[in-house]
This record gives sequence, C-alpha cells and structure tokens, in this order.
Amino acid sequence: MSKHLKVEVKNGKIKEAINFFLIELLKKNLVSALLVPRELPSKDNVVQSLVSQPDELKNADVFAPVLPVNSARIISEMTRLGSGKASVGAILRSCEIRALIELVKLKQASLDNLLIIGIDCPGTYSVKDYKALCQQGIYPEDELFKNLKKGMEDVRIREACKVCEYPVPSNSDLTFGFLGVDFEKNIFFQANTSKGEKILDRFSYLEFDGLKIREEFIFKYLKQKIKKRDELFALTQKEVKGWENLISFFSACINCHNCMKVCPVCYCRECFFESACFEFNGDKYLNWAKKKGSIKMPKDTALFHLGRMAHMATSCVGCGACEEACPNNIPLLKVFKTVAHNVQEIFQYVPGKKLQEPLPLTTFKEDELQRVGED
Amino acid sequence: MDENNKKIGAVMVVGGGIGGIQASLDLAESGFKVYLVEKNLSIGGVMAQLDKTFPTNDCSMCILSPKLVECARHRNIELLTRCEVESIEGSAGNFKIKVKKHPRFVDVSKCTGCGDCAEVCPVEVPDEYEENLANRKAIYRPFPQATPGAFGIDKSGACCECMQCEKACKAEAILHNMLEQDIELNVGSVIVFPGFDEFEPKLREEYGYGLFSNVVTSIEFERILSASGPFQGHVVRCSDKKTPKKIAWIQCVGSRDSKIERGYCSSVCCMYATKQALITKEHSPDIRTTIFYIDMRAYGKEFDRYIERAKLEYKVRYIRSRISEVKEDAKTHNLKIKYEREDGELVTEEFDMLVLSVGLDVSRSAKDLAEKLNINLNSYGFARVDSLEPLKTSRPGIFAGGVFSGPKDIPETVTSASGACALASALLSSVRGTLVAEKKYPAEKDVSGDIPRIGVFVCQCGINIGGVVNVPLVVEYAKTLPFVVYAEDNLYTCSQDTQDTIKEAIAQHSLNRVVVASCTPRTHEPLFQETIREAGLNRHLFEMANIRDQNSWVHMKQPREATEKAKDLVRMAVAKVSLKEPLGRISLKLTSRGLVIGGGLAGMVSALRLAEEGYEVYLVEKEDTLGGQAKDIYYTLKGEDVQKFLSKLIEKVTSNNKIHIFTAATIEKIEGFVGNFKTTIKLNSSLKELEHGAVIVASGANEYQPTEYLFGKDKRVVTQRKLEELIATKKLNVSNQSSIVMIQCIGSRCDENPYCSRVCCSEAIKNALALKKMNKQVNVYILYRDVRTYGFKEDWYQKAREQGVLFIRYEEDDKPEVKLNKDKLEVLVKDLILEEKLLISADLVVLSTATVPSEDNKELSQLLKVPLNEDGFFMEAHAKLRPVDFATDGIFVCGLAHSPKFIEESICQANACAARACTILSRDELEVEGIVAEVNELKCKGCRLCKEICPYGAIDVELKKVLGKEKEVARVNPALCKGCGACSASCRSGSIDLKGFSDSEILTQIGALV
Repeated sequence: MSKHLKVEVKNGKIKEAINFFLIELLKKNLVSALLVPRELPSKDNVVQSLVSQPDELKNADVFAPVLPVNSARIISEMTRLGSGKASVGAILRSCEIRALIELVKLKQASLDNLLIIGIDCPGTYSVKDYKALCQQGIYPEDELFKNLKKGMEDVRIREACKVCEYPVPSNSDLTFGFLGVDFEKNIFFQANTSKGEKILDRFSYLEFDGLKIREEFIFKYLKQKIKKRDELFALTQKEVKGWENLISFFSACINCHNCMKVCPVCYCRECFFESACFEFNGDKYLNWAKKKGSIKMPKDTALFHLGRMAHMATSCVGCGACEEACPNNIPLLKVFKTVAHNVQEIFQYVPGKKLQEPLPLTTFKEDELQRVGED
Repeated sequence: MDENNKKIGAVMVVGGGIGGIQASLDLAESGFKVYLVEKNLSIGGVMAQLDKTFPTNDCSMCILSPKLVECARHRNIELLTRCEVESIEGSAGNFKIKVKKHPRFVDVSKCTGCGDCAEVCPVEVPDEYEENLANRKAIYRPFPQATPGAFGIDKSGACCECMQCEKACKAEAILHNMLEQDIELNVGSVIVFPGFDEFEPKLREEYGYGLFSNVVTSIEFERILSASGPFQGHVVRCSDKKTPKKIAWIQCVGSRDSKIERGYCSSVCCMYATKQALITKEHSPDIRTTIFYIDMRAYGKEFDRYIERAKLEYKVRYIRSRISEVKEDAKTHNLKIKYEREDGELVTEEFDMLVLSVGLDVSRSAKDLAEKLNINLNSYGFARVDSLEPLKTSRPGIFAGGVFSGPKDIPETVTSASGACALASALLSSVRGTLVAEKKYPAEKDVSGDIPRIGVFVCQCGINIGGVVNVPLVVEYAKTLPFVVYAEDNLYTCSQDTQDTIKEAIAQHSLNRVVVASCTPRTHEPLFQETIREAGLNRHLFEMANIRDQNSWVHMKQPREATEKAKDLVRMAVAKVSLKEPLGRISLKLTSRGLVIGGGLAGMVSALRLAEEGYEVYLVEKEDTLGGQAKDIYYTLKGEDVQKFLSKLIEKVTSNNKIHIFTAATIEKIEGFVGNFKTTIKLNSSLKELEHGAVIVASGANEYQPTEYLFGKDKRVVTQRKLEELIATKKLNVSNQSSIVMIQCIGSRCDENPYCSRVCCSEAIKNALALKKMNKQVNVYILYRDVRTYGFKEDWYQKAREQGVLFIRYEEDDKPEVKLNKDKLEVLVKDLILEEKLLISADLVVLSTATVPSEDNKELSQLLKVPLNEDGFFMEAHAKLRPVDFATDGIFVCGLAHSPKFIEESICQANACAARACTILSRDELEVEGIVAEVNELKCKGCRLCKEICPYGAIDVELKKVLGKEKEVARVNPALCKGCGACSASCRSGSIDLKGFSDSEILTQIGALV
C-alpha cells in the first residue's frame, strides 16, 4: 500500500520544493516539530535542529551531503526516557534509520509519535571536505546532483558512502526520492505506511509515473556500489590479516574513544573499556613492560576496538561515523564494515532491516556456529 | 499405641559400598537418622578400588570421594565401621538391633591420619585394597581417601605388638588393648547392601590363576590400571613388570556356569572388560587387546555405543569363543590360549597377559547376615526378591538392593539404594524429622575490610599431581605471593584429615581466604567450601586452582613446565581470592508437592510412593486411562501376574486421597525452579495451573512399529507383545508340529536405533517357555544376535535350551529373510556353524520389536529444559552416580523415558525418584547458592539483552528511580538465577556481574597471568 506522488521542482530548486512541503507539515499541524538539518550561519556545515516554528525552516537543508552526526543518537536522546506526546517528524538517511531501528530493538529509542521521513542518499562528504568545498565557493549539494546527472560519483565522498548498499531508505513512513528521477523537473514522494499516506493525502501532488525507471536505475546503481564494497572487503581482509597486521592497523589509536562516542549503536552509559576494570597501578605497567620488553601506551587500544567490534558487529550499519571522528585518521570503517558484514552473514541478519527481527544475540539456534576455528 | 509398636525415625543401612552410601545420604537428607554399618575400616566398597568408570571414563575415586566425605560429615549419619549386625528383634517400624563393634585399636576421634605409625610399623602384609599386588603395614589405612580417615591395626596375625606405633603416635590415638563392643540400636527400618565379592578364580583351575603369574583377575587389573595402584598406573605384567604387548580378557569366569553353581550372568563383566581394554589402549596405544566372550551383553543405556567405540576407535578385538585351555610358556611366562574359532577350527594364540573377567559372587558375609536378619535368600545365596516388589526382602521393614538382590552395575545399585530409601521413608513418614539434628555452624567471621590473609593448600593427589609437579616448590612459591600468610602441601587435600588440617590452619593463622590447588571445582569445591564454612569463613572466600586436570594430567612429560604452570595457576587463584567477598545464601519457601508426568507403571509407583511418604502428588497422564505400556504385559519371566499387579496399583493410586490424577491431560508450560514449579496443564481444552516443588518424568516410551518381515502384510507375522496376548488370552493353539520363529533385534541395534532394547531377549525366552508349557513338542526358534539374559535371567535361557528351544545366531549384515512360498511362511537364515542357509517353515513369525523413545520427548525436554541423549531418551545428570536426577535441580526421571528396561527396573527407578524428590520436599525451606547475577543500576541502560538471554527467566526489567530519575533497569530474581553468567557475558557495559565471578575478579585473575 504505497502511494507514489511527484513534486514539481521549479527552476531546478529541489531544496525549495522540499522546504515548502516541510513548512506545510508544520502549518497544517501534521507534525508538531521537525528534526531537520539546517545550514549554519557560516554556510559551510549543517546542524540537526528540532524545529517547531514554520519560519525557522527557511534554512533547512535536508539534502546537504554531510553527516555531522548520525541522528539515530539524537532520536535516542529524545525518546529513551519516553517519547513526547505530540508527533515529531524526522528527516533521516538510510544509515540513520537503520541505526535507529537497532536502537529501538535495544530499547534505547522509541518510534512512538515519530514520523520518519527518509531521503535518498547517494553519499556525503566529510565535514572537513564539505567545509572546504563551501569555502571554495562550490555548493556541495549542486556538486552532488551534477555528478549524479552525469552518472558519476565524486571521488571525494566518504568511503562509507562509496560502498553503501542502502542509498534508498527503508522503514520510513515517507520517502523523498531523487535517484532515478528527473530531479530537475520533479522529485518523488512515497508513502510507505498508513501514517505516511495520511500525510500525503493532505497534499494535492500528481501521481508519479517513473517508478519503473527509478527501480531500474537503483538496481544498476546498487550493483556498482556492491562491486565496490566487495573490492573493499577483499582489500581489507588482506590488509588486516593476521595478528600483526591487525594490531598495526589500530596502532595510531590514542584511546580517545571518540569513535565509540559517535557510534549510533554504541549505547552504554559507561563503556566497559572506561570502567575500573582497566585501571592498574604503576607496578602492573612496569611488570608488563618488563615481561614483554615494551608495551605500547596508552594500553589496550586494539583490545578496545576488538571489544567494541565484538559488541557492535551485529548491529553495525556501516555509517562510518567512527572513522569521521578519529583524530588520528584511522580508516575504521573498512574494518568494522568487513567484520560486521561477515558476522551478519553468519546470522543472516541485516541490522535495521526489520523491527520485528530479533537481535542475533538474543536468539539461539541449535545449528548455528557449528564451525570452530579457522578453515 | 504401645511402646513396642512406636515407630522410630532412624534407619540402619548395612554395607558401606556405593549403595549403602547413597541410601544413607538420601535418608539423611529426608529427615531420618542413619546408622551406616560397615564391617571394614572404611566405607567405599569395591567402587573405591576401581580405576575409571565407563561411559564417561571418570576416575572412580574422584567421583566417590566427595560422597565419602559427605557421609562422614553429615549431621544425620553415624558411621559404624568395623561393625557387624549380631541380631535383630522387633518388627517393621521398630527394630532393636545388636551390633558388634570390632576393635580398631585406634581412637578415631584422636587419629589425625598422619601415617607416622605406619612409617615405623615393621610388619608388612599383603594389601587387600591393592588385591595383594602390594604390601601394607599391620597398622594401616586402606586407601588415602578412606572414611573415616583414621588408621586401624590388623591383629588377625599381622601385628607383632612391638608397640612402635604407639610410641610414634603424637596424638596418642593408639589403643592396643581396645576391646570388642556391643552396641544396641533402635531403628524403624533396615536397608541391606552387603554388596559382592569377586568370584574366586581358582575354582576354574583351567585358566591357571594362582599358577601362572601373568594371569590376573579383572579387579587386580583395575588396581594395575589405577594411578594410585601398585604400579602407578603403568600397565605392566606381574612376572617381569614389563609392559605387555598383547592382553586377553576371558569373559564369564564364574558366571553362566551352572557346574560351579553360578548359572547366572554377572551383568557387568562385558562392559568392565571393554572399559579396561579401552583404558589400556589409552595408557599404551601399542598394547593389542582381545576380549574372548560368549555373548556381548551390552544391554544398558549407551552400552552398545561404548562397545562400538572400543571396536572402531580403539581397535579392541572381540572374539566370540569359550576358552578351553590356558598354558604358560615357562621361559617367557607368556600364555598360550586354545580356543575354537566360529568356523569350528581350534586355534592357539599367545598373549603376554591374561585378565580373567571374574563374576560377582554375593558377599561372603551375606549368608550369615541374612540368617541374623531372618530374610530369605535365593538358590544362589542372593536376597530373594519379587520382580514386582524388587526392593523388599521377605521380612517387612527390611529392604535390600545392589548386588545383594542380583548382579548389578553402579547406576542400578545407586538406583536401588534410593529406591529402598523411598520404601523406608514411606514406612516411617509419620516419624520423619524426629531424630535428626540441625547442622550447627559457627557464626561467620566478619572479614569485610580486613586485609586478606590467604592460606594455600597444594595437593599432591598421590602421584597424580605430585608425580609431575614439584609440589614443595609450588608451596614455597605460594608463600611469596601477596597476602599469602600460610601454605602447605597435602598428599590428598580432599581426605578427611586434611579437612581438619585446613580448619586448624584457618584458626591458627587467622586466615580469611583459602586457595586449594588440586583438581576440579566441579567435584571438589563444595567439600572445601564446607570445610572453611565449618571454620567460620564464608563459603565464597575460597578459590580453586586446577593443577591436575589442566596441568599434571596434560603435561605429564614436561614436569618443569608443569611446575611453572602450577605456579601461574596458584598466582591467579590467589589474585582472585584476594578480591572475593562473602556471599550470602538465600532461603526460599517451597511447595511440598510433587508432579509426576506419565501415568504408566513407573509414574504410578513414584506417585504412590511420594503420597505414602506424606506428600501430595499431581499425576498427569496424556491418555484417557492409567497403565501405559504395562497394559500389554501379562506375566513376568518368573511368572508373576502383571495385570493383577497393575489393576491393584491403579486402585491404590486412584483411591489415595493425596494423589490428584489428571488423565487426557497435556503439559502446556512449566515455569519456576526447584521447590517452586508452576505447571500449566490442558484438560478438556481448559487450562489448569499446578504448583509443586519437584517433577518426576515418567513419560514412557513406545513400541517400534515394524515395517520389515511382512509385518502388516501377513497376519502370521506378529510382534512379541501380540504373541504374549495370544498366549495369555488363550487364543493360540499349538500342536506338535507347530513351528514358531522369533526374530530378535527388530528396530534395535541398527543404524536407526543403535541401542539395545534390553528386554527383548528375555521376553522372547519368556514366551518361548510359555509355548513349551502349552505343548512340549512345539518347535520354537529364536534367531538372535547376542542373547542378553543378564543376571538371573540367564537361568531361563538355560531352561529354554533344556526344553528344546532352538537358538540360531545371525549377523547384523546377514539378516534372516521371511518369505511367502505360495501361502506358506518361510524363514531363511544362515547357520553360522554349518555355514549354510537354513529354511524353516513357520506357522508364526514373532518379531521382537524395539522400545523407541516417545515422539513427545523433544517437546517435554524443551519445556523442562532438560537434555535428551542421542537416541532420544532423557539424559540423566550423571550416568553412574546420579542415575535418576537431571542436572536441573528438582527434576527426576524414571521408567522407559530414561531407556528401555524391565518392569522391576522401572519400579526401582520410580521408587528412587520418589526418594530423590523427597530429599527436596521434606525440607522446610530451600537454601539457594549465593552465586547469582547482580545489576549495577547506575550503569544499566535497560536494553533487555540479559532478560532475553537468561535461560531461567530470572531477569526482569522494571521501572525504578535511580539517582532521582525514573528509568528502566534490569532486576535479577536470585531464586531463579542459576549463576550461569550468560547475562554477564551479554552485557556490553558490564552492568550485570556474576557474584564471585565479577569482571574485576576475572580480569584480575587474568592480569595475574599476563
């Protein structure tokens, strides 16, 4: 029961078409507030904002190809101790929705009174690159659409996005789509739930007739992404093969734990690796140094990453926020995504795909994990 | 009620072998005072002499010794060693028994078991415990774990009264002038388990025992295999102490031999010989092993699988042949064995060692004991019991089991022991709890905030550890570790005297934490915890380092490295114990009611017994009527009327107002835990909730429905049960010319069901004899693979042969064929002696069909969260010593749900379940271990992973105000928590910890290593 409509884009201004819709949502009181990215006054980044006044939406920039924060974290913050009584709309990318679904399964967020508006996402720039482009006078959003039109991908977009298998959101009530759509003329609205349908019923958009073309485009588009992804997996597996390589991969880590703090599916109040279990006295350190000749300080950095990986591999959605947050530029995404992919395959589990699907850790099948050790 | 009829809440158990020990413990745990009478210096019996036990290959002493200690320390058990029953007066409920206490010449209360006396004793005599393969002193302790641990003097000609021991004894425990004593005891019931003695092989002189030095008995070979034995576990032969290349076992020495009045099968030899061959191979893989046997009687649960393992994995050679002659090569002392191959050819083969698988004679004391107790014996001198009342002797109030009532293995002995307890407990239920003492512990010392003062006890375990690890070095090392204020080594840290040593050390050195470096906590932790508790320390201020199983056993060839590893393990244990905090035990209320699942014979017997023991019972049966499989059985091998017994039993069960019967009822849900179960049953489509404290699974099994041999296609092909029905209901006519062919192992011992169904051989013989009774001329053929008429059933096998029943053996891969020739039934079978096919025309072909597990087992096992074995039967907690328990507390199993078995065996198990359940239901409250999970509410984010994962439903998430804010946090129900730690492992932030195994304790332990 999905509803497909097209929204006319005037003068190629996609942003205006969307913002008009969002303003109407508030005006018509279809939602009481919206969580949207808005352009910063410096115009070189966006920030998530919870907006309740229609005129505050003027600088909303939902397609801005940058992800300063995975908003699943923000929704968790807003709903964990109970959702608000009035409905909130949130404009989210696929990786954000998938992370959100995982957090809901872990009881760290709630979908009550939440209208999820998903947007197509062909990729984002890192905050740094986004800023640099803006400062060069290049408008990243234009750059994105320009490349898309040419059927090319900007080499500058983030690795996570280059290999993302989910450019189209799922589990949203509404989807704003432009992939495989002649977005200079119109973009595509889809209602996926009755909640979404009721909203679209309040608008008089025309029926969208390019569904088949869109689907064909996405099929081909995904094929390319998955090819790239598999190449990355192969390279990564080689790069970190063996204990030595694995340890050296994480060797630049300074134990700042930024990756954990931005990870949308890391949800502990106190990370185990920050607990008293990892506090030792001076003699202990000296003992270790004496026993092994030398120890890397700060200690237990690789252990931290492996531990985090063990904890999060089944729920990792591959958003790459960890890599973004690393002050020492450790390319975390590829290792996390490769491991996560392999683990998820074992359990035939796709994080964020289906709310009702139980977390692998909570289920036990007699025939799972029969193989032990390396082949 | 006059004084003489007043019931007494005490029971005398005669015989301190594993049967007597189990009976004593069960009774003591059910509220009775127990006098355990043993004629020797120590309890333990033959099991104490055995090396390993199949099928788990557990060390026999290792699983027995915790029970010895439990007996010794149980507040309700009084050990009367060196005692014999003299006379008995009175009747069921109130007996007066005179016991003679022979002098031990050592004061048990003073002796520390230090062994200084034996050190100075100049007299050496052959050691019976070592089967005379080694010597002992005149003052001795039979074995290091002996219970009581005190020494004793052998004055039957050994002691020279030089008084050296008296001088050496610092404890002044030796009393050379100790006198015999008469003790008079008043008990309500007597349980008799005198056990067995091995057959004296000199009675079969053709095997050369006593003449040829390399011919040994199987019990001698147990000692040879044992690490604590005369050769430290090296398999060597007696003549030259060299490792033999070829060992042969000869089966049935003193069994199945009516010429020497031992017509019965000893039931255990096939399996112990196989075990010995297998263990021999484990010791020295190059030794070639051969077993000469008549029939391979692997009739029990998992037996055939073990035989197959011996054949395939260990290459044990089995030869089906009786040995006619053994000769010795005078030079090499090798043995030449002459035997007949199956093709009839006589062969001679040379072996360097011969083991005689000697049978079980009833205990040599049994005859005298039976006379004194005035109970009847059978023609072989074993206790006479009825198949339908297998635990009752001829005298009311006196119950018997173990080998005394027929050859048995350990699990069946243990089962009969528990079963006998149920009968005694039912008899004395009105006086339960009247003579027992509460165990009083000293108050727990408050050690919180105290600096750890750790004592370390390092066990030599004889040579098990001490032979590899340099234990004194480990002790010296332990003394250097932080907070360690005391360390010592012990020959056996688990022995009774060491428990006292530990207690003394705790007092003397103000220890507040204890480490024992020995074997596995799985078997020994409770023992040491009890010891430190008795010394006033909380049980959890304790840690074990396993320097045997995980060290000396696996690094036997690297003593230096093993010593270093032992130090590492001790250091880790010390690091962990220093963080340990006292944990409290939790007391819980319980529902003193039982639930029996299954209204067959086993279910009804256990329900009735529980009711007689004084507890209400819910009996749930899925069929419309009670009776189960027994409904199709008419008579036993001995001729007892099963239907009459069954209808009487049903009447007793239905008229007992403590038993609530639900027929046509199914189990929908089982929640809760020991003492507090809640079961939902479905009755006429409505649901009913039952609350109870224990569960007995007696859900039965099914008869295999054959598809082979024209069954269902020709009316003349019937099952053994159908034949029985035809005979019993007189619907079968047999003439002189009638030919009836029985085919064994239908659906048993095949790929689909690899196990033996146990009863079919005897059932076939039972019906064959019934046919012969109808007409002596009738032709009865039994086509078999092995005739497995174990125990006294062998007599009927003998009788069947005498009466002309023809037994024809077939091989698994050359099965008989049943054909229709026009309208005549014909059976074609290969005669293995004549090497040609025999054609038998048959009026009736009778299929001995398998007992197969019920298809409901899987669902029931999931509801109960208990396991099934590979064959689909319920799996007990331990094949040897917990034969009717599940690993989950409060759940028991009996009858066919456990495995195929005879009625008398089901009855034994059913009674045993009632006794085991009674050890729970008779308590006022349940104490729960303190090792439970604990939530750090500040950290917990209520993600529910722990709740989802917990297999016991012990975790809930609740809204709680933490630091002033309402939030969801996990909450552990300590009564349900089993301390498995799954929650703790699943919690990513470490917000849920298992007490006693907290993250910080474990990490500290690991930190001490790396």
